[in-house]
Amino acid sequence: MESEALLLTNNIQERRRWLLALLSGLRLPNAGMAVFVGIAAICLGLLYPGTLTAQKRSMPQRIVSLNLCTDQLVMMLAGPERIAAISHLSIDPALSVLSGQARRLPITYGQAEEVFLLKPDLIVAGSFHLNATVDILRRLGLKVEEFDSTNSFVDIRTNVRRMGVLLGEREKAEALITEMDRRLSKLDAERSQRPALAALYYANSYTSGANTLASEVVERAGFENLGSRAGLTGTAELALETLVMARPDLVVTGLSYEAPALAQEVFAHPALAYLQKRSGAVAVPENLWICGLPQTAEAVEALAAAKRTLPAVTARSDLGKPGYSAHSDRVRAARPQSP
Amino acid sequence: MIPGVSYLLLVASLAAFVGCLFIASLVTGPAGISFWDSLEALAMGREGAASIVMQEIRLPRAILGVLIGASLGLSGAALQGYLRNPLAEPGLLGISSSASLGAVLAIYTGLSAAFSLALPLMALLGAVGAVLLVRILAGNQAATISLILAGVAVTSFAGAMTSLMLNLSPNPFAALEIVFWMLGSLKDRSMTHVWLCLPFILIGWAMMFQAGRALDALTLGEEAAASLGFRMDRVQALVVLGTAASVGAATSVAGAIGFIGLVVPHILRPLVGAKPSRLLLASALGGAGVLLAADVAVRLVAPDRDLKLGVLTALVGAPFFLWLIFQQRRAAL
Repeated sequence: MESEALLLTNNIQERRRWLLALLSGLRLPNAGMAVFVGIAAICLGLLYPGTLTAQKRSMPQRIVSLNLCTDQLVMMLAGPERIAAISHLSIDPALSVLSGQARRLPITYGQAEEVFLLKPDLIVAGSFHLNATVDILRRLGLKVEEFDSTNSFVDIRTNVRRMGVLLGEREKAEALITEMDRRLSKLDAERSQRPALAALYYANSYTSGANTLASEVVERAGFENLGSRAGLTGTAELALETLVMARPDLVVTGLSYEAPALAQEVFAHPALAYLQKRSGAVAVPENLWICGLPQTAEAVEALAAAKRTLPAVTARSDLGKPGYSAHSDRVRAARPQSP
Repeated sequence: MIPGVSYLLLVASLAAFVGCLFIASLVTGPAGISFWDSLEALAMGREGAASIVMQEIRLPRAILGVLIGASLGLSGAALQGYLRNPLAEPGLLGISSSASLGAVLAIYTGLSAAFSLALPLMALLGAVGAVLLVRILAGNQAATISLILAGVAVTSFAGAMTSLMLNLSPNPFAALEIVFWMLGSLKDRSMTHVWLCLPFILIGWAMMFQAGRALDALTLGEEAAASLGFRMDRVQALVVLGTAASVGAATSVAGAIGFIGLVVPHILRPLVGAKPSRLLLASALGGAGVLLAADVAVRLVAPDRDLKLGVLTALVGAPFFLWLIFQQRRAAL
């Protein structure tokens, strides 16, 4: 029932988006053109929902995904025979949890002409980039569904469910959500209430502030997120000295690319090394939370496991005393077992 | 007697200026440690977050500010004296951008990870290449216009090669770092960087100071200088290698920072009585002061944005450069 309601809201949203796209033509200087576009928009807006529901009844057989995050949802829900292409980013193991599976599929670089030539019956894309490409594809009469980025576990459930409906794989989608929720509630039950501060630290000194998926992951694992405490929202820069002064109990870094870049030099900075030695340190692969996926629960598991190994006395109390390295902990790459 | 005294006074006040800015650089930062606390944390032992911030983050930044600023000011003065051209400067002649290219080759191919000295050495090679290339392109007369055109050509080529290298890197972050290599920054540099560039910078300084008296003689023209017993090939080697070693090493840890070598010698030249050897020390101190000031400013203007140093130096330097060209043209009429 819930998914029916979701489908309906999607239809309404879709229609609104069409109207908006067409009404934006009103900004054209030519008034006659504007009136024409306006009328056309209203007609289309009235016609559109009917055609959409008709299409929904059949399962799409030539799916093209243009976005790293939708790629992974499609790969989890539809068999490879129904996937016409995914984006080139998905074959990078640093970004995608399903890079192995992705390598066996055709890829695109998100250009309208290559996508059009694939004759897709459904295109899924992120709503935050490739806007020009998506507009062209829609004008060519192709069906494009856009997905918003995920900033919470609620968003993950919404997106997985919506993808399940679009691909005609509702049961599979529900099973993925149930499994994710089972893992999360298991962690909620085990979580220690001891307060602890965790700092996310990525390449180029970036961190995640409030209202991000990474921040929710950190909080679900029983930590306070330094980025949120520092008043940051979204992905933002956190100066190395601010990080050192905040004295977090755990420093969470990502995994580095093998190819060198200055962006990663901050991980070799002596000040960060000091912090990782006196606090806990853990590396969580970014591919678990770049996109909101059922696998994001693994990131929570990794951080919860790191919290259990933190020294019982909060590291903050031994500040200024010699011998802080007694609690020293090397950076470990956390990769819990997938079920 | 009086000029000597006023020169000493100038040097002393420039040194005091650099000292004040060095301390300003040490106490500026997002961590919000008070003035006395930060100086105490700097002097104290290694425990505590404040000490780590001061010793591992801010101290190397301030030291590099002095070393790099002084290298740029000094090499600007040396190049202007040697080429007898007021528009000579490491940035404009393509020396900085070629050093960047050398550093980029060393870092992104993984060479410097295997052998850390490869970074300053490759940057030095790039810098030497640029000076020689500009020399050849501009010819021996070193007329202003041909010198600047040769510099433009070398700068564009090195910039393009740097962009190409970084765009082709399999690391997605590399392409974003084009900005760093073209505009320069001292953000989050560590003592490792200081030790890496220090020997090259000091050797470069020594070479340029050695050329001081020959530069004085050169103001009378090449023949006159030669008749006074200065060997021109030796002067060229000192200035070229000295500039390449210091600017190369500086660029390899902080990217290409323009205009300091142009503006600083010009401002100080009237104050030292147009004597190139005296201008060298004054420009080194002035360059250090200007770079420290720029580095304090980038942290105050946009604390959370990592504003690049080259942006600030160009904001001041580019109009100054235009004004200089204008002056030159007027003088030629």
